[in-house]
Amino acid sequence: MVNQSLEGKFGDEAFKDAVVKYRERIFLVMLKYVRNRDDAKDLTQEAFYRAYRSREWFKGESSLYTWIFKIAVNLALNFKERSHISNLDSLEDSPQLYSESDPSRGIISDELFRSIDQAVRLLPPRQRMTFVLRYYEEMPFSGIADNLGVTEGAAKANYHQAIKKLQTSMRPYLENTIK
Amino acid sequence: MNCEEFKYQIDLDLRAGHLELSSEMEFHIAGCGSCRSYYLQLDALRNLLGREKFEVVPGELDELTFENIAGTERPSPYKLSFREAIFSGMRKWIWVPAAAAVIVIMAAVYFHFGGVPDYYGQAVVETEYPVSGDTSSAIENIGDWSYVIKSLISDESEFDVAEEELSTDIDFDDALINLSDEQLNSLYNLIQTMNGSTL
Repeated sequence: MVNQSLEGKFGDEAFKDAVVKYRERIFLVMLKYVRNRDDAKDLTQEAFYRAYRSREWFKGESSLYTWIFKIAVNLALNFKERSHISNLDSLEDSPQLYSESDPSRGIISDELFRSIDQAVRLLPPRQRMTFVLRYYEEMPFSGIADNLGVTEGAAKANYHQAIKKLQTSMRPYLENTIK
Repeated sequence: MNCEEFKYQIDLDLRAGHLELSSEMEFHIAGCGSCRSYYLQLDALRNLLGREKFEVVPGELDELTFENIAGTERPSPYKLSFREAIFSGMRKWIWVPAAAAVIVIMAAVYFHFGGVPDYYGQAVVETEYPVSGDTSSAIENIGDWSYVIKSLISDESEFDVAEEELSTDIDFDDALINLSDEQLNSLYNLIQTMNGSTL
């Protein structure tokens, strides 16, 4: 864990370490959520910026990572709320999920890639974030509930609904796969 | 465990890394073709989603440093514009206190000036006795009393008769409301010139 002062607040050195140590983890979560590299990078930077700017509010009751991560999650939820439509509009134009140098880019067909991308994007913000945190990050529902500010039951219900919607969206591919 | 419980539980257990079944769930699908099919479909979904790779490109986050984050005062790219602040999420409810404030201001203006200002910025003349009782019936009578009052103005000989009616009928107040300022002034002058009578 990154060093923190006894008062629970963090100094510049601790925050500097946190940026280096956590930026990739937070960036990847943002990427799985917004599914756009530039947006994910902006969100990551904004999360760190806001964490630093409001560092006096950090009580040390959780780890620094947990605190920054929570800020990032809430930023992402608000971000999607504002740009949901524009992101859908740009879906056909620039799916930037993979990097240019990603060797796995060729494994998955463009059509399937777009279908997965669209299916995830179409999930409502809370369901999508719950899906990202549970499916990709394998976070327990109690942790998801804490990050999203909902009950554990609500987190489970969100995930259940997200899986149902993804199944529906991906049904043509699923039928082919099972056959 | 029934089928509904099985499907709900397996949905919650789905993660990128694995889709494991508890012994109770294994027991269930051993005798339930529908749930076995559901399990296979969910596992297929996991495989499809698992083809996506999320990786950081080397150097991609190099500019994301402490100096760049903490050393610059910059406007947030996610700061909402005024329009967005008004219309997005819970902020749309800002109209509720705004509307309440407008109503309060209008009420204050009304009571301060004793009425709603007319076209000329003057307060509308109100009757000394406000409308009371059944408003709808009072409105129906306004037309009749307007006719009487107009008669008063045009023919002074009818005044005595009209005065008796006016003084015994509360709807006269309602009739006054229907008159213009000019008619009211005419009526007032007429009354003043006729034996000092007052209504």
